[in-house]
Amino acid sequence: MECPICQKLKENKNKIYEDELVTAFLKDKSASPGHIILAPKKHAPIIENYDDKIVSHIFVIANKLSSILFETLQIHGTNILVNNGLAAGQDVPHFHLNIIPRMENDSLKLDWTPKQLAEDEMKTAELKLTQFTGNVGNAKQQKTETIEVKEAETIGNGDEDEEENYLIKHLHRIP
Amino acid sequence: MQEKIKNMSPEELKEFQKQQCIFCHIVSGKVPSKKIYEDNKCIAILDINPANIGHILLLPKEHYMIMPQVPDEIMAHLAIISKQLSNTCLKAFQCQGTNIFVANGLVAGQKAQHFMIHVIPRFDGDDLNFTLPENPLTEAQLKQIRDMLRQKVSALMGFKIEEKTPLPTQTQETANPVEPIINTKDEIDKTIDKIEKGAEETEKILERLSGKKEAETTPEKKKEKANLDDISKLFS
Repeated sequence: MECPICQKLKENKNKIYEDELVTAFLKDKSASPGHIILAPKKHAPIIENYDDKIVSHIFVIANKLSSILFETLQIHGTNILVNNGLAAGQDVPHFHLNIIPRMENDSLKLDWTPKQLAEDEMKTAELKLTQFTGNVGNAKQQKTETIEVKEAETIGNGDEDEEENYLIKHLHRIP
Repeated sequence: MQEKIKNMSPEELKEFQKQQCIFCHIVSGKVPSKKIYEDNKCIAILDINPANIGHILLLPKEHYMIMPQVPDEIMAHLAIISKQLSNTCLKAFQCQGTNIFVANGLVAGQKAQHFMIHVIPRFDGDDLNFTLPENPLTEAQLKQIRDMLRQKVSALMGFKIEEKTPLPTQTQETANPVEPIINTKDEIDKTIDKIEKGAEETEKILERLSGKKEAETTPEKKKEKANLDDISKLFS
């Protein structure tokens, strides 16, 4: 007895694409015709459980499948949607992307009423988030080191290598 | 003006688009914004008219109007940053989930001519709804779409379904056999809780639920010709 997506990933029925890391299949109870579910083969509930290799790969494949939907079904748009967590509408405890074809005047409603937040609410949100963004980006850097990395980047533009160690970048600054 | 645009080279046109693009102005610093994260490839800012508090817009610094224009390398980077920003939201707001959303095309809700990924914090009982409707397609409709897509995937991505042989189910990542079954709410909530408390995820799945077995029909062997009219009717 398995999770519905793990089970689906093993079947050939409605499978559209597969590689080492991810599988895509057509959803039969679709939001719109051509609705694709793209999921990693490895089972885990939310995106945060997956390593960078799988996450980056799945979005690259989603981009390609979205273009294929355009060409094949002559649609007018696509949505990529991840429902990450129950409150976000996650219905199956296996992280997956929805690639949803859109046409003009289709009955799908995937939007929101924009809120007007007060300046201090926005400021609070900004502060809360920036407290934790030290862990975002190439290197899991400490807050104090972030400044050094930024300075290094302004000196050496255009030549940046994603994988380059930020410590080495810092060394480049030494006159 | 229209004539001027018509006579522009692709580079000039791109430059023109950038000058008209408010997000390019935000990237360059000409227009102020609440910056959450920045590196040499992308920038994350707070949406000034958010769906929820903490709604982040993640943009490539380079101007791409639509998703197919975004190179794989940039897409890969944006994906990783989206994941990390989602994690950041969970920690910062102690929320119960996040939505990662891309609107590709006007009809899909794309509001700006600069590709972006939305990362939206979600709270229990908030007024947002990204629950997708379920409209069952008939077997024939599914087959039609499936065959058309498989053809294109085979041509463009080099993947072809082998109907006869069962496909490999293991990736090299998992040492243990796949053995998930989970209580939906518990597992997701637990995972989010752990992230928020900074704990490492070490638990195995605790409960198994019996899943619904789908009746499998034998795939038809005859090839049918795709009819785009049929497909477009499905959308009305």
